[in-house]
Amino acid sequence: MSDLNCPTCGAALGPRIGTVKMISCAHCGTTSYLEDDQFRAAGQSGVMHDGPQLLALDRPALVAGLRYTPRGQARFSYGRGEWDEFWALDDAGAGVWIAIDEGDVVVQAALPAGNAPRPKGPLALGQGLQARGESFAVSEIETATCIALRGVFPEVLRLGETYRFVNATAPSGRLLSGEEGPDGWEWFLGDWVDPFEVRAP
Amino acid sequence: MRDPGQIRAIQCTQCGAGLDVLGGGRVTTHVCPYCGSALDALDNYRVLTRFTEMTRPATPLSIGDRGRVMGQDWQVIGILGLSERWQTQVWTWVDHLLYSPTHGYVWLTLEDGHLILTRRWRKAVSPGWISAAQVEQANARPGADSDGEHFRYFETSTASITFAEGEFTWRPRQDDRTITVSLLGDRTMLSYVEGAHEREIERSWYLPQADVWAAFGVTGAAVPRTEGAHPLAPVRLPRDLSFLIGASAVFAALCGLLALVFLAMNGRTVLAQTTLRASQLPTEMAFDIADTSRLAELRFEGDLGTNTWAWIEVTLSDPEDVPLFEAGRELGYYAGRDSDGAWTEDDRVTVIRFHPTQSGRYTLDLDAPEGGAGEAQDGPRLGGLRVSAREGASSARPPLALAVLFALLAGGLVLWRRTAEARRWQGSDWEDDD
Repeated sequence: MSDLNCPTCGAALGPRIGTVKMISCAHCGTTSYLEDDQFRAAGQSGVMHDGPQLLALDRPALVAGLRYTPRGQARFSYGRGEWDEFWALDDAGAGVWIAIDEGDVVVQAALPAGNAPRPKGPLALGQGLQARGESFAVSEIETATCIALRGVFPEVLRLGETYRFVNATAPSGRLLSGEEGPDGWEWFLGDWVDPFEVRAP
Repeated sequence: MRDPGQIRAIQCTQCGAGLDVLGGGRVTTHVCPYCGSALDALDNYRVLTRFTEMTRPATPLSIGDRGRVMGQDWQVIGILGLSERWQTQVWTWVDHLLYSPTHGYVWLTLEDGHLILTRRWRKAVSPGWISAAQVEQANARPGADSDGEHFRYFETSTASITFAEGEFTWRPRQDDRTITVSLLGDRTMLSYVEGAHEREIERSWYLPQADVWAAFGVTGAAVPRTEGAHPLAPVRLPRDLSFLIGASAVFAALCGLLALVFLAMNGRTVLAQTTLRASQLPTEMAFDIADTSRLAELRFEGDLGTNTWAWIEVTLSDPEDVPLFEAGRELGYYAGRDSDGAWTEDDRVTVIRFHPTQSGRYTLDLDAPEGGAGEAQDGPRLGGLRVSAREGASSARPPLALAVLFALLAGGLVLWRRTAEARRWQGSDWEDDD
């Protein structure tokens, strides 16, 4: 592998290209990638490629001052990017979902059916929703595919399954998220957390 | 057999130059550093538009530079040149888009040599939005609260993009305009940013300048010189200034209270007020003192006409007839009128305090050997002299002096802080300052 060269300037890319898939040429700055079987299979397997992360499985962390231990990690792809959903337990054993997408961190807990919105018909951008006496406006409707799983979860998640989800924001900044499943919508309510407030205890 | 793979380069679809892909999943646009083409990072680097006649802004940072800021590692993935024009004035600054896989995207702004970090602020902000139009119509300086910090309106700016290079999480366009309403807090700045397609709230921090430059490997003459003070730059005040002001004010109040208490402690009269005619002087008077733990006080009040004075001489002897002290005092009363109006100078009363060394009978020898009218020394002018003595007296002067000293200290510190604050706010465009 060490004899691979930059396609732009011809400089040797060095042995690192044997262990990484993408590298910037030290001479001309061009980014090159290794198009191999593994590259072409990317997205088809449930391999969790580890990069730098704010949270790690089974490692307790302080999130906005509260201590959680992530027990499950699900990675979703929304096409051009990915985000992680961590199922994490606090010290009392209560579970929350912590979504992390490139510095955007949200901690949400499942809303009991009695407090959850009951949308009639398909949801639309800007549509108003009510939850726990607060008004929310739908700001995002997307689909995402589960591309990797590890650890334990409070519900069944299937690799490769595509989910429809919706995010709605309140004037206070709170985030209401819905996930459409075979039994209808499941709702989660929570707050954004500054990534600088996620750290080791 | 395992596919050995093939190396493929990511190149500008307009000019063929190699592109350095550094950003994360939210990068949508890549502006080629060679030809200025804005490429769609989500669609095989299709050319979206071209930036032409761009002037590279002055910055020692380049795409790909890495550094540690606010405890995180970041890499420069995009550079924007921005400017604002108002009448004949032009302000320019450079925004560097930094990326961290864990903390996302932040702006590192270089403005007049100052480094500021700005990032999207998703925590609750009240009010949720302030537009430039709302500021225009506001009668009072708008304010906002978030994360326990109170912010007050600072300025509204309209920025245009003059230069773009590298990767961005949206599609920058040449001359795109962004209106920013900025509010200044004690530690950070809160900005309501309205672009062509989105609104967001951002928060800015002033960075430890030398540390950040060093973290990016910029040292020596390469470090840009700062011009003027930035409103976010920390004011060089003692960290415990508020405590010092509070403590000084409290001490001033306590000393003032103590002075009042001392004033109220009149003691006991040991020599009732006695009026002596001038012809009775010199004379000798006696009084008994029992309290030796506190001060005793002699009070003299001269009966003087306008613009006259008298010199009195006092000798006090203790119960063993040993002189305790000798003193001389001038009594006078002057009045007149000048260009500033009427004036008086009233020194007809004098008080002598002493510490009795033992209890018993004290003897006071009193005389008024000199006097005169105006500047003249033409003989005694004293009509009479009222004399009294008390024991157990207190002097309010020391606590009063301390009260004034502490009050001056508190006032000076407040003035210092206000002057420093005024310097921070001197760039504000709010005219009716409250």
